[in-house]
Amino acid sequence: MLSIVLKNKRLINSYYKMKLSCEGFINALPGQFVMIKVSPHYDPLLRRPMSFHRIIPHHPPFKKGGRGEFEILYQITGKGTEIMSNLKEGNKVDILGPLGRGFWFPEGIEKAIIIAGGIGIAPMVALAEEIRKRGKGQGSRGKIIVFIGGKTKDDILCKGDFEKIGANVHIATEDGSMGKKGVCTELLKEWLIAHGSLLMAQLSIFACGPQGMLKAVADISINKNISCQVSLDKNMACGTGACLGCVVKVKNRDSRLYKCVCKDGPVFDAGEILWEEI
Amino acid sequence: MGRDIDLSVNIAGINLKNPVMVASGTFGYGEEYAPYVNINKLGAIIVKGLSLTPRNGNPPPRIVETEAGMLNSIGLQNIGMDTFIKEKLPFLKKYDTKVIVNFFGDSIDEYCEIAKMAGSAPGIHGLEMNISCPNKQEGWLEFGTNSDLTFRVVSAVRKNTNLPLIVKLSPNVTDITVIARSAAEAGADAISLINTLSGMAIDIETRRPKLANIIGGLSGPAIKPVALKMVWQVARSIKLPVIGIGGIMTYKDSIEFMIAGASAVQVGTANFIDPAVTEKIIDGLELYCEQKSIKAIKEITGSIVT
Ligand SMILES: Cc1cc2nc3c(=O)[nH]c(=O)nc-3n(C[C@H](O)[C@H](O)[C@H](O)COP(=O)(O)OP(=O)(O)OC[C@H]3O[C@@H](n4cnc5c(N)ncnc54)[C@H](O)[C@@H]3O)c2cc1C
Ligand SMILES: Cc1cc2nc3c(=O)[nH]c(=O)nc-3n(C[C@H](O)[C@H](O)[C@H](O)COP(=O)(O)O)c2cc1C
Ligand code: FES
Repeated sequence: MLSIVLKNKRLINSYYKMKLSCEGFINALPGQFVMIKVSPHYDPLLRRPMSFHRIIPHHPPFKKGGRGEFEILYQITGKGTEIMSNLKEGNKVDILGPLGRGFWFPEGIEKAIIIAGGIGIAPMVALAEEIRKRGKGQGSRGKIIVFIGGKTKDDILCKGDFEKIGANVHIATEDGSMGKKGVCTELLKEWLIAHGSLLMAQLSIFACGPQGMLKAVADISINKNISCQVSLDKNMACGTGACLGCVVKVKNRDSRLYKCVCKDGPVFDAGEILWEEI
Repeated sequence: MGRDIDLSVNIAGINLKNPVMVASGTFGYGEEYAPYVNINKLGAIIVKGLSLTPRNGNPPPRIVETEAGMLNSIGLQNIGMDTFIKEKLPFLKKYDTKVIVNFFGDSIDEYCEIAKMAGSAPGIHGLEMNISCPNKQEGWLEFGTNSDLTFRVVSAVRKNTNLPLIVKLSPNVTDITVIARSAAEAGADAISLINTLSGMAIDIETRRPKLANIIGGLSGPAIKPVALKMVWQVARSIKLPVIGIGGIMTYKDSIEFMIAGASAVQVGTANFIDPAVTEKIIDGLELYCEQKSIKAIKEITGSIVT
């Protein structure tokens, strides 16, 4: 599917945000992703997976065929993302999506805890916006607490986006240049202790970030018996479940040892993943 | 478009509406790509390689991109023949295309067992034997790297099936024509080539191999010249139809393989980049024939001028 770059700008350091539009865009869910062909050449060959950072509802008035817009938030980490950063307004890029299984919304949740490290924040803005939308008119429901972690203050993105929708934001940086010095999983632990009177069944954790961080969050959630969803990141080729290249080991419930991150995920129940062997 | 160009080809007794198939392991069991490509338009679907019982495959990371290519070490993960017939074949039968089962085994017996099962499952139009895997019973030597083993496994399977039998060759050999001849003598109906080229990649920061399995199979545009040469060599050394595989991205690549001697082609890695690439290739073939006043695509096969 061809889509048009509406905006592409650097936020800070190697972090960029791109806004795209495409004909008749299908409804996407937070946690889902697109595969982007960053150039028509054979090197880089494969598409690059990128999460929906913001899903913008169709703007009335509808143009012929309808038009959807979405944003991605990305970090330059190699040649593909480097090429992306040079795309200009009006350029066309080929996207495949929406792909994968996104976040789901358990019944009876009072508070959503979002925790993200580094570029893992990308899908969380779309998620927070969706939670906010669903919680409208439901009193205290839909309360969002956000924990963001990064190396330095320049790695803390989207703070304002969360605050704008009324979320409670907690920050940790490894060098202490913003928020608390340390890692955001420690902040989460402290918060849970301070809110020990809350019913754990009324909390739901949504996590995205480096594998070590996700494992720590999964440990916390399993210990405290809090529902927890993690968005995983694996090298991908097809993005559709055809190549079996992006697998992750799961606890062997239905006799399948591996699941595809692209099709069965990227969002998984933290309790399903075999964290020792990730 | 209303042209009357004949794109059909007959491979090993299977009538294909056009010479473009999707290669094993790059199109799942069809379902995965059904939303993105018109399956009815394909010459044939070669399904992901099947074994008698399900296989878990190798630990991740299983794929890594390389210059104009990719390495994979999927390790032949698959759902097994039984589940395929029960759960995937009914879906494929709905389409007006040919279904070819790619299969492999640890032993000659396993190969034969699968061939028998396929023979009694309506909806399977042909078999493609992947002989690029080790023989567990005899020193782990890869079937496809030894002409005697190739002969034995292919003739054993031949005795157990009446289905059209394609033998898919590994390029990781000294002289591929020797293996091709063994397969032909053993009763293969057609030869397909090439499977992936053995390769590796290393992370210079950690000094670790980028694949958990250390080595993997290279595919994509990077391997096309090697594949083309091997197709040319094999096509001139045996009488059987040859199916060209390796780095095909466009109709031009397909034509090149056909000129070199291929009667049909398979498109692999390109599906990952553009799920509808095969439709474009088929349209391109038709246009090429029209522009060159070629009435039937089969005329191109082996038309190389040297
Ligand atoms: C479901 C999913 C969603 C993602 N969402 C985002 C996002 O919203 N923003 C963002 O900045 N990044 C995201 N990533 C990571 C992003 O895909 C990689 O950073 C990117 O592919 C790197 O490409 P490159 O060419 O710049 O790097 P290179 O290192 O040159 O890439 C080489 C190969 O490795 C793969 N690769 C490298 N790093 C990663 C990685 N971390 N994850 C997966 N594949 C990788 C590439 O896709 C490519 O095939 C996501 C990954 C997945 C799996
Ligand atoms: C991810 C992946 C999985 C594959 N799985 C199989 C398989 O199960 N059986 C097989 O015979 N070939 C398999 N192949 C090889 C392809 O069918 C094809 O021979 C090879 O990739 C070269 O073609 P290409 O360059 O067009 O991809 C696989 C290739 C890839 C990339
Ligand atoms: S990327 Fe191909 S199966 Fe997930």
